[in-house]
Amino acid sequence: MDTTTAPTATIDALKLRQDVSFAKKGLIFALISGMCWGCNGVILSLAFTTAVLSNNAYWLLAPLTVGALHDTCSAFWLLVFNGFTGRLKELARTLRSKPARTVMLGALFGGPIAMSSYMLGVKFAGPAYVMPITALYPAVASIFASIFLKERICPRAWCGLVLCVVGGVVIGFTPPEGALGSDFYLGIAMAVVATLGWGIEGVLATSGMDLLDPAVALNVRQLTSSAVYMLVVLPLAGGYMLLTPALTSSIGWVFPVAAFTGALSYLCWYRAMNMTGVSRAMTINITYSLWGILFSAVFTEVHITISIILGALVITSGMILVVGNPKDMTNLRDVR
Amino acid sequence: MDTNMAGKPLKMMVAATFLDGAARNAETVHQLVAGSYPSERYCSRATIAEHLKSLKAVGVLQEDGSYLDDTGALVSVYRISEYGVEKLRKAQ
Repeated sequence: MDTTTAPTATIDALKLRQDVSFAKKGLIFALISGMCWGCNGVILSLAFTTAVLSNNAYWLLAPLTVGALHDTCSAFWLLVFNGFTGRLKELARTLRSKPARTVMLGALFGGPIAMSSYMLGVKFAGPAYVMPITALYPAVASIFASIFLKERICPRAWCGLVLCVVGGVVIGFTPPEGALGSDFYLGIAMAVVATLGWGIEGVLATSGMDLLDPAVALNVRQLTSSAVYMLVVLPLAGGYMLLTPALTSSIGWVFPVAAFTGALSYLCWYRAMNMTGVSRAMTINITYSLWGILFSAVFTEVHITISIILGALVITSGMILVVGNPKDMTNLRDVR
Repeated sequence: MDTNMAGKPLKMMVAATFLDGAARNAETVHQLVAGSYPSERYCSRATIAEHLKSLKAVGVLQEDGSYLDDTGALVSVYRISEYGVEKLRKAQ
């Protein structure tokens, strides 16, 4: 190797700059992921403005059909991306590898299981109770990451994480309506399952990505999620009767467009988890609730309220604490 | 090259090149793995350098040292960690 003699201090400074730049890139990916997910929610919500998908008779099948179409279109966009960047052979190799099984398991937890549980939770217990529980998923993921991945999370980052979760709850809170139904506790249990599902997905996906390319791992995730939705979840939830009406209605464009922002969001999220760790990526990702409100205020008739401003301030404070000093992120885990 | 790794994902293969305990940089790793991914533009030096940074961040590799090359660019040299050896063993 040809080497140039240089002062150790210069090399150390360059090395630190390179490591910090890598960590900062991960944080930017996490932020873009949150912004795209906020945009994704606003676009996808348009799907429920059609008569067929807002019909109370399809309270479970409609959102699951939307979820199935979203993940299927997202898998397609990722195939295009991976084809364009020369990763299709890598996708085939990855699908046959052992770490891909971890990603597929994560896809099951974070896709169909968590989403179906969330929908059932909202139905049985109402959003006022389900939303604050499911907002805890970054905290759950961080606990799992510190246990199973030995991820380093300092006390300051834990404080930031709590603030981000509280900010998310403040922004999304809706007052409870009416008396509690007889299935209330079942709904709460379903919300807990959804929270655990999303938390587990982050840890399993990150563990798999230790040895896999994030963009390819994500394609595996979306293909798995799409297959399970189409072959298991939809038949169990009532069938495929809403697929054609949804795609051929006036809002048929919503699915590929939302899936594009969803694929971009997930792509950034998976890369961020791989570059800055599960806890930071998930905590910054939860800012989607803030971005969602901002996009809604710009493109729809949602008004900015005091609680939204308060939630935004709390989330921003939390993010500053989580990000802290990027120099601390050059080694994410406590392993030898 | 470990024959058990044939047809494996590139990032996994990159990590596996360190199983012999040697310290390597991106260029050396690229030379070792390129033959297993013939005519694939995905198997580039830049992709391998990115995978090495990622493998280092999650603890599979450790930085063994660094130097400046003829052009003044920083070159990092990596070595596998105990965690990395265990992770690869489980992944095969």
